[in-house]
Formats: sequence, C-alpha cells, structure tokens
Amino acid sequence: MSSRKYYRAHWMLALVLAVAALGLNGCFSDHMRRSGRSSSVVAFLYPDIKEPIAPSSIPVLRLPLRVGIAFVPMGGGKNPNYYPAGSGLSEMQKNQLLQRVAAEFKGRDYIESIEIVPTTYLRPGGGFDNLEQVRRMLNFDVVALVAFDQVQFTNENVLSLAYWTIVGAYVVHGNKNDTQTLMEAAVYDIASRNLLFRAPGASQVKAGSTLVDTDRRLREDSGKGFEQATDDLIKNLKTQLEDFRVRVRQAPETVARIEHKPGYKGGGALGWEFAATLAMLAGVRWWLRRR
Amino acid sequence: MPWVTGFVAALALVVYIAPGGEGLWALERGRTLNGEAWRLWTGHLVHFGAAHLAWDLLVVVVAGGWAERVAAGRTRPFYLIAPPIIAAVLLVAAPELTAYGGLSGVGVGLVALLAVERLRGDGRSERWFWWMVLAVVGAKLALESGGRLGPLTPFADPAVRSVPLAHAAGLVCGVGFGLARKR
Repeated sequence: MSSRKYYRAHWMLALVLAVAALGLNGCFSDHMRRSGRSSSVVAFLYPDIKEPIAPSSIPVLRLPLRVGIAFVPMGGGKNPNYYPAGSGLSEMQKNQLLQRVAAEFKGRDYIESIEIVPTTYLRPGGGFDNLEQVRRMLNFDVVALVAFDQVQFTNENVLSLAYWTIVGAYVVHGNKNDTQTLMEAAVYDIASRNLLFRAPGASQVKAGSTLVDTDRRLREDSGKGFEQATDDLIKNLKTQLEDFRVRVRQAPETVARIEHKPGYKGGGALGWEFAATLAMLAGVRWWLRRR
Repeated sequence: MPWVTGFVAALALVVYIAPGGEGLWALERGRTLNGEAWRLWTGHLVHFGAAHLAWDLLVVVVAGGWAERVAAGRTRPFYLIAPPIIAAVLLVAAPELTAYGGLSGVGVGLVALLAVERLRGDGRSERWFWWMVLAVVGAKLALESGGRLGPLTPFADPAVRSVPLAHAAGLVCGVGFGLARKR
C-alpha cells in the first residue's frame, strides 16, 4: 500500500473512533440511574381508608410517659404507588438510628422509659389494631412512628470517558451520586388515636465514585444520608416537643389532659462528681496558700 | 461549734437506719397537703440508698459546718427556714412529684451561703476560689436542667429520679441567706 493510502486509512479510522467516542459520551452523559426506598405512616395506620377519621376525644397523658419508638414497615395498603416491602434499611441500622433518637430524650423527668419496637412486630398496613397489640406486649402509652423516603441518583460525567480504558474504571471518579433522604417522626397517643406532634428530618449527600465502586459508594451514602437526616430529625423533634408542652399548658382542654401516675418519686442527689470537683478546687486553694 | 450541722447529719442517719423512715418522714404530696406539715422539714432527711445519703451528708457536713463556724447567725436560721421553702417550691412547681427526699437542696444552699458569705468577707486573694465554687454549682444546675446529666448518684430504687428544681430552690435560698445583713 502506498504511504498516502496508509496515512489516509489511519486518519479515517481515527475520525471514526472520535465520532463514536463523542456519540457514546453523549449516551453516557444522559445515562442516569435512580433508586429509592420509602415507608409511610399513613399507609401503616390507615391502609384501607382514603380519608382518615378524626379522633373524637382529646388525649389523656399520664406522666411519666412510657414511649415506644419504631420504624413503620414498608409496603402495605392497596395503593400501587407504595414501594413494595423488602428493600431499605436493615434491622440493625434501624435499631442503631432509633437508639440515637431514644438517647436524646431519655432522662427527662416526664418520660419514664423509651422502648425500641422491632419493625418485625409491626405488619405492613397493620393500623392502630396492630399498634394496640404491640402496646400491650411492650407496655407503652405513646408511640413515635418513624418513616423515611430516600432516593439515590447516579450520573456519569465527562470524566467517565476514561472508563474506556480499563484502569479508568477503577481510578477515575466519573460518577456523580446524589442521595436525598427525608425522615418523619409522628408521635401518637395510642388510646385516643390522636397525633400529638410530628417532626421532619432531611439530608442530602453528594459524592463522586469510580464506575467499579459505584454500588459500594451508594450504600455508604445511603447510611450517611440516614445518619444526617436523623440528626436533623432529633433537632426538630426537640423543638416540636417543646412547642407541644407549651400548647398543652396554654390550652389543656383542646390539646391534651395531663395526669400524674402515682409512685413518681424524686430525690435530690449531689453525687461524688460534685463533691470531687469541690474537693479538687479546695485542694488547689490549699496548695496555693502553702506556696 | 457547728452543733446544728452535726444534729441535722445525725438525724439524717437515724432516719435512714430506722425502719419505715421513708413512709413516716418523706415529703409525700398527698399527706403533706392533708396536714402532715412536718414533712416539709423531715422530707429532706430521707434518702434512697447508702450512696445517696453518703454524698449528700459529706457536702452538708463540710459546707454546713464551715458556714456555721463563720456565720452562725445566718446558717442556723437557714436550717430552719430553707427546707420548707424548698419543699413548697417542689409542691407548687412539680405537681407530678408524689414523693421527695434528699439533703441535696439544703446542701446546695449551704455551699451557696458559704460562698456568698466568704465573697463578702474574704480578701482579694481568695475570691477566685469562691467564684469558682459558685460556678461549679451553676454548671451542675445548668447540666441537670438541660437533661444532660442524669442523677449523679444512682438511687437504689430505679423509680427515683433526680429533681434539679430542689437544687435551684436551695441555691436561691443559700444566696439569699448569704446576702442577708450580718448579725
């Protein structure tokens, strides 16, 4: 083959490859994956009812309260738009998140105990009847139901061109991941079926990953998203709880009636830490006087 | 001679050791409001466990004994007047509390009374110490009130909870007595 024909053939091949790369890059850039998982308090409590019936009596809260806290199960109801059961947080992850929420509220003098309810105790679409069964089993008065919605997107950016090289798929961060998480806690008095108050928590986690590492990174982002949303949820729950307490004090006949259980004992205790701190201070004073 | 402090400490020991002490002497809401007014004083002598008694007594004996030596004219009336004030605050502001016991409210008051008394009388070199004491009391109250500090001493009875309001009432009484005109 003459040298001219040789060079022309090579130029043609390079041109074809460049056009193919640009065209495929367009395909990659438009490629997006989306996945999600969610649960719903309404779907759990009112599975077969389009319009929930408003409770007819105001709640009576007997202090100190025994509180249950649970993630509502996913699925349930006849609405085909709800995500099917089976995907989402593992029981261990749910337990850890609920322990964090419970730890923030334990020790308050109007809360006697906070019980973590395993999601397996609740049936999808179980409703208040299911809650009543669990309430009698675990002995709590008020329940905080936690629901979540998490959506994850992953897009490839221009760096994903490097995926054409095998090494690029391992080292180049050509994927952009976006994880959006929304959580909600709704606190119900089970006996009267009244919603006492609710609070949201939200987070967004953005990160990059390599092609090979995308699934692992998305799982990590999912966990991080729930952690950050839980932080936000705890902050908002505290605010809503204080607002609820103020509303109860100002309008007990319309919001909730407070009664006190017998046997609530209180003690004033100074403790060894207080005594030790004062003793240390006295020791420093004595040492300075001696100098 | 801090004999009033010694007498109060001895009484607390006797109430703890004697059987049925809690039922006879604790500040029980229903019985107090029905006429058993002595509980406004004796409620502070009741303790819910040996550790509870030991740490409360330690602070009361040291702070109360010192305060009684340097300001007997204000400390001795404090032992008489502050306990029913603290008890009354609990009855009014903590209606969910059905029974109360512990010398810590009185103890916090004695520490505050002593600190204020010393700040009024001590030379410049000692003031830092008494301000630090008041700061420690303030920090304890702030942490307790914010729910960040559970009971510093676990009570033998798990149903018993710490009552920061008693410490706050004791602090106010102690500062008030500390600022009262010297006799």
